[in-house]
Amino acid sequence: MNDFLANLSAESPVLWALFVVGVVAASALALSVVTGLMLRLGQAFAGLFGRHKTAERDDVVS
Amino acid sequence: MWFPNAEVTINPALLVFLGIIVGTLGGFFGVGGGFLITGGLLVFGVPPLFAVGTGLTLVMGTSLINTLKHRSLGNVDFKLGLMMAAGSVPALYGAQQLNHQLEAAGIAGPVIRVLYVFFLSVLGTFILYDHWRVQNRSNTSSRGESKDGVSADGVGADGVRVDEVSTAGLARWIQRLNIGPRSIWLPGFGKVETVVSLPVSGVERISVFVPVLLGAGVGSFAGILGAGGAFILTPLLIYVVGIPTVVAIGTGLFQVILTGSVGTFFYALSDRVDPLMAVLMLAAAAIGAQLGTSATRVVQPSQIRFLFGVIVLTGGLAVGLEEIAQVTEIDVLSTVAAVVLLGIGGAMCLGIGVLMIKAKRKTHDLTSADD
Repeated sequence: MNDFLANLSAESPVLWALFVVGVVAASALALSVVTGLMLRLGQAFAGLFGRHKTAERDDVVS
Repeated sequence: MWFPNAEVTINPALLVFLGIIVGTLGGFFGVGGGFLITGGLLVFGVPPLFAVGTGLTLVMGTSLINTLKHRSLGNVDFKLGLMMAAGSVPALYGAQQLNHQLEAAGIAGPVIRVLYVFFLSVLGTFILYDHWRVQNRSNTSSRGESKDGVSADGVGADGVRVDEVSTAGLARWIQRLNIGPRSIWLPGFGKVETVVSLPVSGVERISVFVPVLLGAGVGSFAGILGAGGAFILTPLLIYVVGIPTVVAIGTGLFQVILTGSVGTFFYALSDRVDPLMAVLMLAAAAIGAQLGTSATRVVQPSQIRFLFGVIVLTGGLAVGLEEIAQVTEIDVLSTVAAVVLLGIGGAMCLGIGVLMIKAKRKTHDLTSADD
């Protein structure tokens, strides 16, 4: 991969520039989706544990 | 880890650390963080032109991530962003031509650094002064005092609410301005009104020439300084156009995607970008961005503005130290500048985390009290 990166930048600059912009944009979109899903998953887990705690507290009160 | 394009070996943990700082501050303040990234990469031993090029590439990526996140929170005014782009994109091209002339004259470096120091210092001082003034008005109002003519419902003698920025009167005047003709003819669109409303920003009427001229001004500075330009645009949107803080942050980031993409393309064209380094930092920045953007939902806008003032002033100090280092040829000052910038940036990320936890606890306590 190192050779590919070094060669492409030296041989065709316009293609290389488009490749860089494209790779970074695609990575940003993918990372945005992945981290968003991770955050939602975390919130879902937190909500699940939160509900358990509330239920326990309600049991004690009742 | 070996980076083939920049031809340098760097510990990836350092790049991850830098990425998290940039992502968090970018999401929180609505800036690309170009001045942070370039300074950090220089300290890690990346060649200067690669530091700027790779920095701009990361600015573009983090802005894209942060804009998507802010869009889901309803913080991006695309109509306003596109109007500003009509001014900023041509201005960017013009600024790059000016930069080439400055470079040919051998004065590009000092001119850029002096401009940076001037704008960052003026902007940072103004933001902190505005925060102090608004806090004072707010305290006076909450004590029920009639000093400055502030009434009990929080409205001052000038009709400006105390929880607004101190330039709210100026912003209303700008929104009422009539510039140029009331309508223009555009090919493909026909006759188009030049006075529009911006529902997302809560602006009832504004001339399209205001955001276009604003975009042109910011695009010029961004092109000359080699930055995304959000550190100038976001405060201008808040203080001059009167856009709510969180919408100014989201819209500023949208604008940086455009300026960052153009900058990345040009630097990549002259082979001054290391995409491997940029993508590695981007992965870390994506995690920081979630924290920074989420924090804008729970932290008070006045606190965001205060912290923004501090980081802008720190940026000015760091660039000032860099300029002194160049003039006096004392290399250690360059290292001090970057360490100060990264240190304050890291501390601010921790501060944002603490503010978020405090705000969440407060909300939780209120919910528990209601139950």
